[in-house]
Amino acid sequence: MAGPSKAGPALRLLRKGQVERAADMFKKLLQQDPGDVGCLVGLARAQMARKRYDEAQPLLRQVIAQVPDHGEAQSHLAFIDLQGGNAAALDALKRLSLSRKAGFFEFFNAGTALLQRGDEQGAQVALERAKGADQKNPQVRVELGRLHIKRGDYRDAITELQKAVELAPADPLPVLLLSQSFAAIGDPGHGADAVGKALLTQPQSTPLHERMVELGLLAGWPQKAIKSAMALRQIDRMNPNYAYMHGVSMLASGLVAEARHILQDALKKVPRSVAVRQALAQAMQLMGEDAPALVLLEETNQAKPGDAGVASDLAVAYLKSGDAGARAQRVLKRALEEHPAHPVLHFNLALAQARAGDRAGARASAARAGQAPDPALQERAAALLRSLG
Amino acid sequence: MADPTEPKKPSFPPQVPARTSSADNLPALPRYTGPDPRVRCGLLALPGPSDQVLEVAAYVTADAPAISVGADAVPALRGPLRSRLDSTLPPGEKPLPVGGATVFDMELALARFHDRAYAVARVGPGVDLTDSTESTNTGLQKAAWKLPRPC
Repeated sequence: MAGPSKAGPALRLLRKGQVERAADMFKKLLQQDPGDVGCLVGLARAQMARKRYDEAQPLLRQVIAQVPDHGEAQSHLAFIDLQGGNAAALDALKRLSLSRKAGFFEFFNAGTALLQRGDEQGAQVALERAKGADQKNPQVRVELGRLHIKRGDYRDAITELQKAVELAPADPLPVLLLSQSFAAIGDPGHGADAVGKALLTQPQSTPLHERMVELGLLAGWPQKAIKSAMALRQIDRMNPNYAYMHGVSMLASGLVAEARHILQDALKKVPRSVAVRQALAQAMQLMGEDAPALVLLEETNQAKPGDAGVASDLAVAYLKSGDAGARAQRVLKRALEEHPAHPVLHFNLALAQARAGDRAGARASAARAGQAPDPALQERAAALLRSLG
Repeated sequence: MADPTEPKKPSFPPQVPARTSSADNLPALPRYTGPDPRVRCGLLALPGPSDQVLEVAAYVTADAPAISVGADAVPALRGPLRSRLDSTLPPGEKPLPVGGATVFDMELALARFHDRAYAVARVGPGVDLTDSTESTNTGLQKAAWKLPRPC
């Protein structure tokens, strides 16, 4: 057996996430004692953490030369081989993960490799074993959470991701995945709570603020959305996306004049943006500025006739101004060429057809609108079908 | 009795225009007298395991024109507003960096997060840390815990 290792302090740096400093320290220690297995393993891990596989490989071979049954080193080498295109290395990874002596990395590398190869079932088994070997590892929890999300098992994903958030409180990634799982089960409020908690320690995180805008809108808490949109604009004043998010949040909050002003300002930054033009036109309509809103919608529709939102708004504006149905139908049918299943387009088309006296067409369109995933829209389409008789 | 030369104190606090924090830094705007927009939001699609954006659609439901259908008047539907400008980018396309902030890339964040799994302090077989500069009694043992082995 080799003598005692001096890797302790460098391993502690590695654990703290100071990978560069840890690598430098391992290198210095290896100059003093090139055979220190602890330092060889530590430096190899630091290189793996930075995806420097070429630099990790010789270190791992040195480890195996000294400790031939070193499962972790064998597993890392097989994993690197697999990344290099050697498909047979997957068998080695599986075999190592089945060993009685297998530890965390043997399971984790096998799980990652199986995920990359699309074997979700195998990956789940390996990752569950990795979780058993290290209950406090956030990466395994995130990978398991993502597997559950992929299968639509959002509640199982939430269980894993809540643990990942606890284990990696300074990283926005687990919170982002957790919050979208909450949104998927129709509970955006809990997602917003998790993001709000993370923002206390990461107040400058743009992805967290962006997510808070989305969740604030979904949960019916536009003030939270506004607060985060304003924070984003403070972080990046030039970003038109953040101005747009602010405008939409203000609109959701009922602050229509303010929303109009912000969206007008955003339009100066991105004059051709369809999303900004559509939102601005809606704010203008709410303020009674129907004529300029119509001009804006017509211009935008001409440039992007396939945009479903703009086509819907323009058709509604035509119907409001007394169109007998023909103009509205033309605009909607053009957008349906690009979005054949868009429920709002079908719903408004049904109204335009009903106004034009085409009851059969209206019923068919209303039935298509009823296939919407949104229950509120399904209800509206059902009511329209009843009215059509 | 109050001194008549003293300026009369206002009976109410001075009128400060009602402002929300959200309206700060905006110029004086005309007072909005229209309807409450009554915005209803929903998810356009269920999120996937690598999705960066939640596809949120906001529907302004107020004041939609009602179209006569038989004996009923059915309100039309406004088009959904997106919650982000870049939420309609084609799959695989990344938003261009604008302004000063670094663009968050979910794929990259996932890869980096995954790779941090290798940055751990446990030791494997054949490694004795007793000669470390740290005492084994000051936390090093905790850092060097060994993996549970199956029987």
